[in-house]
Parts: sequence; C-alpha cells; structure tokens
Amino acid sequence: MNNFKSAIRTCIIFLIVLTILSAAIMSAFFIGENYYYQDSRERAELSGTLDFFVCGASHAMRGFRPDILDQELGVNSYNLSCSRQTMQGRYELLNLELNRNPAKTVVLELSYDSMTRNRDEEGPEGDIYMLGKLGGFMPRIKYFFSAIRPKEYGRMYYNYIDNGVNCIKKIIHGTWTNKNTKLEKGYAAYKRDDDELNQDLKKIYHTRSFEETVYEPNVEYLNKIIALCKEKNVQLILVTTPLSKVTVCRYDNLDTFKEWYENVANENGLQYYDFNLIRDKEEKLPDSSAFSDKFHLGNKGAGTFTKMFTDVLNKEAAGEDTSALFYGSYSELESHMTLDK
Amino acid sequence: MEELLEILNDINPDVDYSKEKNLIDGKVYDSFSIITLVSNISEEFDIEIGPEYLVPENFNSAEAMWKMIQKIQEDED
Amino acid sequence: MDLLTLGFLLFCIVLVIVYYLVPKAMQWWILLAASLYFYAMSGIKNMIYVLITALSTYAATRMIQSLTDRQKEWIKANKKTTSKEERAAYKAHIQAKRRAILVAALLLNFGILCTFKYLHFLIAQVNTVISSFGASPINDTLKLIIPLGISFYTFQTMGYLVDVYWNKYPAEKNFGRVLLFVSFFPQMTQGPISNYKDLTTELFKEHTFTYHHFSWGAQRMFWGFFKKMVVANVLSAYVQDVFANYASYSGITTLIGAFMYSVQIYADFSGYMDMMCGFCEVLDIRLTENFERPYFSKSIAEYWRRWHSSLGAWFKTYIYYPMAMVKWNQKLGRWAKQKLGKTFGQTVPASVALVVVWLTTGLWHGASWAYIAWGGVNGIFIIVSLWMETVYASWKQKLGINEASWGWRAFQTIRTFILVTFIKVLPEVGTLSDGFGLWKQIFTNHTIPRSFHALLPFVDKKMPLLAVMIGTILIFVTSLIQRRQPIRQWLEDHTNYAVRVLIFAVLFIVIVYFGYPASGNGGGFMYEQF
Repeated sequence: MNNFKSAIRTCIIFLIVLTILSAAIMSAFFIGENYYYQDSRERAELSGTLDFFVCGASHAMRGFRPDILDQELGVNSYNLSCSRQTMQGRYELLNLELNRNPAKTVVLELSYDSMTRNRDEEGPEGDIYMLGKLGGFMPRIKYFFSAIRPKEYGRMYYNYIDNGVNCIKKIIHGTWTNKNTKLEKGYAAYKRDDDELNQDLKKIYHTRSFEETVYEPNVEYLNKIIALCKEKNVQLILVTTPLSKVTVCRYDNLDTFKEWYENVANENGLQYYDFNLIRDKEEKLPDSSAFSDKFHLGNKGAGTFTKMFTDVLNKEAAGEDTSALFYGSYSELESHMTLDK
Repeated sequence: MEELLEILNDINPDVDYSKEKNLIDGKVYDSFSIITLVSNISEEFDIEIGPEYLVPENFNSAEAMWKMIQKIQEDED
Repeated sequence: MDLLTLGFLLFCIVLVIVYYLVPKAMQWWILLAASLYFYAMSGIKNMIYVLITALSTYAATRMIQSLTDRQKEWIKANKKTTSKEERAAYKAHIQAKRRAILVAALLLNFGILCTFKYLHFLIAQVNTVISSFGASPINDTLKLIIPLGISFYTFQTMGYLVDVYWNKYPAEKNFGRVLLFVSFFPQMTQGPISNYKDLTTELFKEHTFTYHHFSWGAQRMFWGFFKKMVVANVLSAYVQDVFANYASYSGITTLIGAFMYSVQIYADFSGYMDMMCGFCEVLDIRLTENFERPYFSKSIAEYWRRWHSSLGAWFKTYIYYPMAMVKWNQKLGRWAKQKLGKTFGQTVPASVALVVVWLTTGLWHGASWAYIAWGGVNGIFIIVSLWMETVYASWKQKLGINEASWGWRAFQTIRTFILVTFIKVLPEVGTLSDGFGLWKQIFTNHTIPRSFHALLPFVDKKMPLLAVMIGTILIFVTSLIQRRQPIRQWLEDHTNYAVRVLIFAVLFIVIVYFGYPASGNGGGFMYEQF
C-alpha cells in the first residue's frame, strides 16, 4: 500500500509541477501580444456600446473594416471574425456579445466552406483562436469541453507551449509588446503574399470543385444563430465576401453554395448578398490590387469592399431595389466575364 | 582429463583451469575460442557435442566440461 | 496502434491498474489480453499470422516433447533387453520423426515470414533473369502488408521451438502461455528478441508493485521519449534531406549527415527500447537489454555485441554455433588445418559460419542487395579481424602500443565509430549505388562550405538543431556515467526528489515542444517495418 501511495503522490506532485511550469511558459502568451486575448479585452471594454457586428471566418476578418462601417452607417461596429472560425464559434461569440450589447444588426459571413468545414479534417485551429476571443474563465472552460475533442488535447497543449516559447523569445530579443497593433476593432489587414494571382484564366477555368458534403453540426449552429437573432430582435444579414477572379474562374460549383444560402435566407425571411456577383466587382476589386491571396481581400480591397457593402445597405434602407446591382448567378456572371487578363 | 586440459591450454594457456569457474560467463573464452574448443574436444574424444550441450553451465570450468564429455559418451551407448 | 497517442497512454494506465489489482496468478492473463488487444488494434486481419505461429509452435513442441519422453521411457524400459545397435536404430527412428516435425514447423513459419518480406525481392530477381532471356517478366501486383513485428516474433518463437528440439527444457503445456510468449506486446514492434527461459521467468512470476520500479520505469520511459521524439525525429528530417540531396552538397555536409544518421538511429531504436523496458519495469518485468553504449565499442565485433544484442544473441545461438559445429564444416576445418596451417585453419569453420550469419543478418534488415551487401561488409570486417588477430598482436607489440592506454582505446573507439557510420549508412540512402554515391561524395567533394547555410542546408530553424545538439551531448554524458552505474542511481545519489521532479517536468515540456511538430515526419518507429 505504501508503494502505491508513494507512486500516486509522485504522480500528483509531478502533475502540479508540470502545470506550474507550463502555465509559466504560457503566461507570456496569454498576457501578451496574442491577437485573440487582446481582442477579448478590447470587446470587454467596449461592451454595452456596440450595435453592429460582423461574424465569420478569415474572409470576413480580412474583408470588413469597422472604421468604414462606423463612418458610412453611423454605427459602433465590431468585427468578431477569426481565422478558421467554425459555426459553433460564430454562435458562441454572437451569444456572448448579443447578451451584453444593444445590437441591432449582425452580418454573418458564409462562404464555400462554412457548411462543409469538417472537424475531423480541419482540426481544432479555429477553436484555439475562439478560446482566446471568449471572455472569462468559465466560458472558456465550457467551450473547451464542448468543442475540443480529447484526441486534440496534445495538439492544444503543444500550441500553447509553442506560442509561449515564441513570446519568451521575443522578450529575450526585446521585441515583445503587450499591445497588438494589428487589430482594429477585430479587423486584421493581410499583406499581399501570394503571387498565385497571376494565372492563365483560360487554363485553370473550371478545373476544380469545392467540397459539397455538409457537416451536420454546422447546420445546427447556423439555425441556432438565426434563432438567437430573432429572439434578440436583431437584423441578420447573410453575406458571401468576394473572392479573387482566379478562384471564381477555377472553381465550378460556387452556384451550389449560393443556392444553399439563398434558400436559408428565403426560409427565414433574411437578406443574402453574394458579393462575387456584384456587377462592378471586376472594376472595383481587381485581383492585382484588391486581393492579398486567392481567397482574401487585402487592406485596400477591404476598404473598397466595405464601402461597396455599406452602399448596398444604405440603398436597401432607402427602399431601393438592390437586386439589380447583382448578377443572378455565377453562370450569368461568367457569361459577362472575359478570360483574358 | 589430461587430454582435455591439453586442449584448453592450447587455446588459452593463461588460465588456471583448476580454479577458474567462469570461463563463459566471465567472457574469458569468446565465441571463436568456444568453437575451436568444441571441435577439438569432439575430435579428440570422438563424440558429437550437439547444440543442446552448448550452455554456459557445461563450459564454465574444466570440471564441468569433463562431466559433460562423460555424459555424452554414456548417452551414446 | 500508434504508440504516440493519448489512446495508447490510456491503454497503458488501465493495464497497469488492472494488472496490480488482480490476483497475482492471473497477472499474465491480463498481459495476454492486453497483447491481443494491442495487436488487434494494429490490424485484426494480421492476428491470424500470430495465431498460426503460436498454434503451430505449440503443436510442434508438444509433439517433439512427447517423442522425446517416449524415447527416454523406451530406453529405460529396454536397456537390459536390447543391443546397442537396436537402441541406436530406435533413437535414429525417433530422431527422424522429431526432425521432420521441426522442419515442417520451421518451413511454415519462416515461409510465412519470407513470403511477406522477400516475395517482391525474389520476383524482381527472377524477372531480371527472365528478361535477360527475352521472356516477359512476372507481373507482381500482390500488395503485401507486412504484419506488425513478424520478423521479431517469428524469430523469438522459432528459438523456443529449436530449444525444445535441443532438449534444453520441456515444452510448455499451456497454450495461453505459449501465446503470450509469442505475442507479448512491448516486444512486438521492435524486439528485443528474448529467449524462452528468460522471458517466461519474468512473465509468469508474481509481480509486486513497488515504488522503486514505478519510479525508475517511468524515468526510463521519459528518457526514451526524449531520445525518440526530440533527437531522433528532428534528425530524421535532416538525414532524409541529406540522403535525397547529397549529390549537391559538399563532402563535409554529407559526412555530417552520415554522422547524424548514426545518432538518429541510435536515439530512435534505443529510445523505443527505453520506453518499452521502462514500461515493463513498471510492470515488474525485466526485458533483455538491446543496447550497451554501442558507439563506445573498440571493434566491429564488439559493436555487434552491444548493438541490437538480442538479435546478435539469437543469430549466435541458432545459426552461428550450429553452422560452425555441423559435420561438413568441421571436416572442412580439419582439412584447412592440414593444408593451410593450424592458426589459419582453425578459423575456417567460424569464418564459414560468420558468412552465413552476416548474409542472413543483412537480409533480415531489408529485402535488397544493398542490405545483403551491408551484411557482407560487416561480416568481412569481422572475419578479417579474426584472421588477423595474431598478426595485429605482433604489429602492436613491434610498434610498442600499450593496449590499455587511454590514447589507444580512444583511437579504437573513434575508428570504430567512423567505420560503423560508413557501413551503416550504405543501405539507407536508397539503392546500393546511391549508397556508394554518398560515400563517393564524402571523399571526392572537397568544397569548403563558407556559411552556416552552406554547411547545414537542411537546417531551417535553429532551435531544433540546438535541441538535438544538447540532446546528443546529454546522451553522451549519460552514457559515460552509465559505465559505472545506472544513470537513475546516479540521479538518486546526486540530486534530491524535488530536483528530479523538476528535471522530468522540464523534460516532458521539451519532449512536447520539439517532439510534437517533428513527429509529423518521424512518425512511427524506424524498426517497425521489420
């Protein structure tokens, strides 16, 4: 018995020491430059004053500029998006923010992978960021146990240790700050780093398809978001952000996703806009200057796009028919598109 | 017994075979010496030392080897 | 089942708890259940081969044993009433039966092993011959997935079969025990290859939980994880790069790559051994050691007594000695003594046996000419040093070399390490000509790299390299300490409990930090393919 007790005692002491050491290493990350923890603190400070939210994954994080939203729409907006955001993540954030802010409008970004994003293939990336964005200890613990699977615990532990070590390296080099200057009310600009935007459009035309198998949990959470907004009396607008011309040409099934979201919008009496189909997209958002890579807008493009978006909203509010501003489908778009650069 | 000691001294004369009890376990004889030893013993005593006899207990001392030789000679009867 | 997962960790914890809770007589049943479960998780279809081996060995050993017993009784009963010739004839008759059963069981089990390992290789060789006659080659479309650990458990089990044939001990009557001996999971993937007596003594004794075994076992497992996940996995990426691109790297870079390979494979294989032996220590089971500071060896022969020593022991017992003592070899030896003089002549049976041992060792490691050549090269070194022993002794005397001096021993160790590295790397680059190409690059390319990147072009980030260097130094230092006492004993003598807990907590974090990303390309274990 003594042997067994000693063994248990050693295990417990070891785990305690390990926890303390790990926490020490990770602490630099939690209190430091990490985007998402900063973001959480910023939102906590603004809580009670925000009335307009954008919620989505990286397309929205790079695409919607809150400063332009504020200016053009006269609101106090925040961009809740983050990379690899899951539908569950979107729901949880909206739930948090709608309960502590006088929200009037929510823009939900939905694109080709929002419904098909599959946990088994994608891993816990988006949820790692979510853990940062949520506020408070208990919500994080709750989210951790609801979203993260046991087989991912090792990966999560590694992720936090890695981030912690990186921060410690920065501290040693004197480049550590605890103020992240990249985020502006949730929006993060993307530097142009992908010159795969120079493609022969004729060669790549309709050569690939996006995955179409829907992952059921995503649908569940989408419905939860719709129900939540209804309950809070919040106007929900569904939006697909613009993709580069290279992407629109290459993938042949973007109409599938557009139709899905149109159905959702029709069934729930919501507005849906697919900004790939806005008539002046090619003119205003050319690949060469508006996009940072095949799927994300760059800083300049985000500015232009946000203005285009607010123009549509303002026209809608003024009673104009905005559907004339858009093509009806991708087939229609392509019939008006040239494949010469 | 004398023929056995002759064979042993031929392979490794530096050992006191009346006292040494750890020829194999103590690595005094390496695998090559063992093979030479076994082939010389089988030639000298006209016996076949099967692999089942190749255990350290039978070769750790001159005494043990002599006992083994006698047993094989008996068994072949 | 992938060893480096939460699932396996859970499996181990549950096993340890249940194992110590059940009555001591039932402990081995738990081990058997765990082993079968482990193997089933790795591919239930392949369990059939384990079962075939266990069943055929059980049947063969029991039949051989009953023949042996029958012979003893008959001789005892009829000693007075029969002549010597009659008894000899009876013995020969029984012996023929025993041998037939042995041969059948060996053919079956080695046949299965060889089919899985060597079929593709054989077909390729046959095709080379066929196409040189202008005929069309055999179509080799059969995709054989080698059952986990087949080389290890087949050898281990066949050793038991041969031991029973040699009357070393009686056959086991309990099939469950035989099955556990065949399938004991810590040894499944990469050995060690134990002999029946040693392993079963450990498996079937009564096991008591002691804090000492738990603590030492856990420490050893940590150390093994560190070697494998930090040192071996990180080096694996570098080494793969050198093997693929040596033609465009300088000789020095390629040489560094070769030395890294030596460190990598030691860390990988001995790390796995530490993990498994450590885990077994927690279970109060002692496994045979496979490594004894092999790179401190002073000769190639010694190296092979210290590297993968359980395989060497198996080959010594079941191939080397039998081959050396077989009649025709002994006759050859006597002829050689007459014709070529005593000193050289008496090395002949051993040399013949060594050739067989080394070619089969090479073949065991891989089904390719490169591995056979590798085995042959090792064999040549050992045989030549056997022949030259007396010559070397007289040279050393003439040159006044003091064999016990520190300088001479250091020279021998370094020389052996360099030789071993070159030999080891030969079959690993790709084909045999790739291996020679790598050697050539080391010797003929004299470019001096002028920058860090030119010296080590495969290093992307500096921190993993630093970790590997520190890890290698740690391994070296602990090896030095281990010459006198186990490193865990040293820790107990020189540090206190708090420091030890801290060391292992830090080690854990280091393992996760460096090991997790590297495990993408280091994946499973290198010897797992055997």
